Amino acid sequence: MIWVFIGALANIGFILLAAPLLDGLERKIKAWLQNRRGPPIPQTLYDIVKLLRKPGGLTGNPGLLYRIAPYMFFTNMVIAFLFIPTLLDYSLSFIGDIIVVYYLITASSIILAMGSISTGNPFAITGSTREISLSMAGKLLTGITLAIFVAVNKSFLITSLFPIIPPYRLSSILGLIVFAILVYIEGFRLPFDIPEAEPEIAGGVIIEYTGRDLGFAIYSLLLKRLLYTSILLNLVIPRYTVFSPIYYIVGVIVFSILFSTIECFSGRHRIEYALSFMKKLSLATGVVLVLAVLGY
Amino acid sequence: MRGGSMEVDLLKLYRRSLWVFHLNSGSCNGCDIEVLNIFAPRPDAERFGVKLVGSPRHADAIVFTGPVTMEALPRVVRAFNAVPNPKLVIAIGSCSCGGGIWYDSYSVLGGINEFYKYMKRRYGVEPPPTIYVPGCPPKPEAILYAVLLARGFVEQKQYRSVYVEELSTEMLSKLKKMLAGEEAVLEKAIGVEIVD
Ligand code: SF4
Repeated sequence: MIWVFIGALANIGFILLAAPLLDGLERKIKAWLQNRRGPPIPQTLYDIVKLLRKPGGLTGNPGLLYRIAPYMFFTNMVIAFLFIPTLLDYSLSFIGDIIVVYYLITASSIILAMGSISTGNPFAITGSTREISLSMAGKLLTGITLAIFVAVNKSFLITSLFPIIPPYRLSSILGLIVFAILVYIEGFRLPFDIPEAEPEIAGGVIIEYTGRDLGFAIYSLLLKRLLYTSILLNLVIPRYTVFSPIYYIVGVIVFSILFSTIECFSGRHRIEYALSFMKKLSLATGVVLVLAVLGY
Repeated sequence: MRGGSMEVDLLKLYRRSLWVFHLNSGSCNGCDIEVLNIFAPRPDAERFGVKLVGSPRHADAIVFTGPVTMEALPRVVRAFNAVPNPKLVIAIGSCSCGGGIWYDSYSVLGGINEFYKYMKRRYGVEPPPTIYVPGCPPKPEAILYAVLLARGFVEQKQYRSVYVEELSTEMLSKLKKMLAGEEAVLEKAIGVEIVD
């Protein structure tokens, strides 16, 4: 038991380092594709370290929610990572932990948006409504997709869902495809969501945060992106072998390259397009869930 | 670079990463295009960790373009105060450095120095370290140089020297013929006694 705990902590140490580095890798790849040299790979890490060293500031007299939102988001993400095996195969688990992870993911977006609304800044409110509508659509889709895997495996234990093993069923393959799309969507990548959404809404949901608070908010967003990628990877790569750390590292790098390439070739859309796409995808995924329950 | 002491801490803090907020306080858009230019593939400022951010609350440095017009003043003050300390200012273009061609226009406060005087008088705010990039508009290379200067990557090249050219006697007599009868005015203007 103690080893499981130590292993899970080692995992957390790894992901805290890996999340900014992967973002740096993606920035580098996007720069290469645009014929630029691009920032060095640890650039995002430097940015975050700089932000954490600056004092956080408050404007006006914001509520408690605004002040604690980035920290709650961050803790939520770190706790969620305790239940997902990442580099090492260790993770905490109990029956129903998938519901806990789902709750942590959903709550974190809502907390950030509510903290932002409480500032009263019109840009922040616009950003928050946008964030909430996107996260409603995204989290619904996450819920349905996870339910597919739960129905296929007939288990609420998160580690028992990983990986998908033969005999392959139609619903689990379709669920995997939907989840891969979902990882792209929930990783706040271009046609779907841009939390910084710079020119349009001047920073969106995180507009009022500065210094340390901003650092934690950005860090948590990166962690969320890696969390989704990790769940997807766990569904694909073989676990409990000596090579699973290598599989994991190669996997996240491959997905980073793939997703940043797609992102580089996609433009910005109005938010309705993203929402209507997710609505259609949710309907299709609902059908897959029915298939999974029926045993296909 | 002038104003405020550039503490070692500030240099260390922004050595690897600098997020800038672009503030157009009444520019003709010439400088703005050049500022956007430094993020284009050739100069590529992102390789030095420079990022353009949309909210002043996220920024470490403000990039001023254009003179501060009376119309924009209240917003400029708000944006300036919103940038958290310790902050840097990069004044881009002749307009921003000293008012440029608008320096004595009725609807313009002036360049960044006039703005600092206003901030000091009105709010008691000390001017932050400021980098001046003259030019109309300055080249992207010059802006890149300023950004790197802010972070201690390059040395300041500017030096102070005052050079007064002595007028030759032929030149003076020519001038004298041209302005016959206005010697006194001329003498006063150039501060030299004219002798034949
Ligand atoms: S310096 Fe020249 S280009 Fe820049 S804002 Fe002034 S007039 Fe326009």
